[in-house]
Amino acid sequence: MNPVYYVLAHSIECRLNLVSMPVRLRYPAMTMQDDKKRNISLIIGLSIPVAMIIFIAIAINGPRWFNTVEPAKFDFLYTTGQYSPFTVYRVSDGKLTIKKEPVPEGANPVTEHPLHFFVHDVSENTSREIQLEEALALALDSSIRSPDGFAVETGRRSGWFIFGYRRDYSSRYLVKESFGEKLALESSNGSYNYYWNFQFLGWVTDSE
Amino acid sequence: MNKQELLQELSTLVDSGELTEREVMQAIGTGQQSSAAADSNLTSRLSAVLYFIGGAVVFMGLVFLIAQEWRHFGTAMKIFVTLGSGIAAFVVGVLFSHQEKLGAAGPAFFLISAMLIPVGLLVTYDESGINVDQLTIQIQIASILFAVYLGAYTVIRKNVLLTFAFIFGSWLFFAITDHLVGGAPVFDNWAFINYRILFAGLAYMLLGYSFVGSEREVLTGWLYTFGVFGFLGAAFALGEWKPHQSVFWEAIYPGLVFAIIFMSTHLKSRIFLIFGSLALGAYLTKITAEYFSDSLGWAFSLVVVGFLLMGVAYLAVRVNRRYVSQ
Repeated sequence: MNPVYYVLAHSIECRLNLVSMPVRLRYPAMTMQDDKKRNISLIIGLSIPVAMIIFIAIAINGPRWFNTVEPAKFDFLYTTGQYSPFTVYRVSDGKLTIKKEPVPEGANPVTEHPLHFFVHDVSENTSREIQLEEALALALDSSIRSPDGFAVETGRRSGWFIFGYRRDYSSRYLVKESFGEKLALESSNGSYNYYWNFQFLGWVTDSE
Repeated sequence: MNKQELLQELSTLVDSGELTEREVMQAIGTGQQSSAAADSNLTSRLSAVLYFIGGAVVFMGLVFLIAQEWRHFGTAMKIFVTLGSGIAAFVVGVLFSHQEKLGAAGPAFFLISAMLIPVGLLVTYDESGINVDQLTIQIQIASILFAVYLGAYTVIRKNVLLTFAFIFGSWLFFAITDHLVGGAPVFDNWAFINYRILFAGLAYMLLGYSFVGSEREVLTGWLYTFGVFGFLGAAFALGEWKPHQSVFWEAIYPGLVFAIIFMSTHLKSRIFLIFGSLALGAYLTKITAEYFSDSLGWAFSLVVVGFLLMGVAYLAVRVNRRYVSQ
């Protein structure tokens, strides 16, 4: 039936029977096929968030479930404690070096706090404190990524809805591709590994 | 003559030309009726807007009132004035929903409840000594609210309830996906947010389309607006900026924009056309600034962008007149 007649007819129908105009009559051109299309779009629309949740769950846990990422092999050396601006620890030619800068004349006296050196065992996720002499003897690689592709990165802080996402400097992760493991690091002052007292120095290349 | 015969007769008369549509319209007074209906529609919309503004003002008033005395409240009182008020507003909304003569008073109270209940739940968790910054708490609160408003919608069938179910459902989606990723920095935050907005936008568009021709159609315009804006906005953001630009997203963006503009003709939707045209203008401006401002110079690039935007505006007007407005 021509849609115009359909609406006209229904107008009369409404006057005769005082019925409210049903939805279909407001859309006289709507067909069963349109209904089907709308039902499909409803199903897909509702499925998208669910599918994305499943996809993210697999993307995050997949590397663990399917062992696609080989476990990390290289331990790393880090320090905690407050740095003196005049004592610089750096890895040079595969070894830890210490460079003492002269204190400028007239500069305020600086209190030297003791630094603590730790080797983090990546297989056990535990840290062991070592002395400076032991640290100086280690073979180190100061690259951001270890020879087997892992990196130590700050965590991410969750937000509210789509707002407030930022870095979480109070946590660090051992990361490779979509695999990330939270590191149980030590801190020198009893509180957890705060960003101001953690410094990554290098991968222990002879720890493999 | 029964109804069917009357309609058949009417159809035959119109077919034969003995009766015109205009004459039928005049005979049944449809013209005056539609004019009266339009007036009534405008009045009811105005009334609804005032109800909602009133609801928002009531909420703000309550917030200030509670804030002034907050320090003097004990735990029970804090929960009572926030969660209790929210539940009370929800109950009033349910009761008013059955009173047609009160217009949008019911939805206005649902608005107040939708703002107060989340605050009330957060206060309840906080007063129980639970850190509300945890994602698991967000998931619990969003789940409760989503279930309450969706459940209420299935009983009361008021679109305002479905609107809040969408809002809390979206919050739940973002909280669950965020919780799954956890604290590990394996996804880039910026890309992760934008991918989720992109797919949420796509879902909104599809849901908006599925509501056309149903009692929920009033939500279609809002779902299209947020859907297209989220979808195109997120895709644009994923393109990022030189030197960190994503060639993939910059390359496919025009395709997405033209698909949206094409959909505007298919769906007869100005929202698709307006956002599609704005996105095309934004994209042309970005690409010119990113790749051609060095070679062409900034001033000449502005001239080029200006002409391109005029072209987009002309295209939008043409498409609107030819395909969307018909």
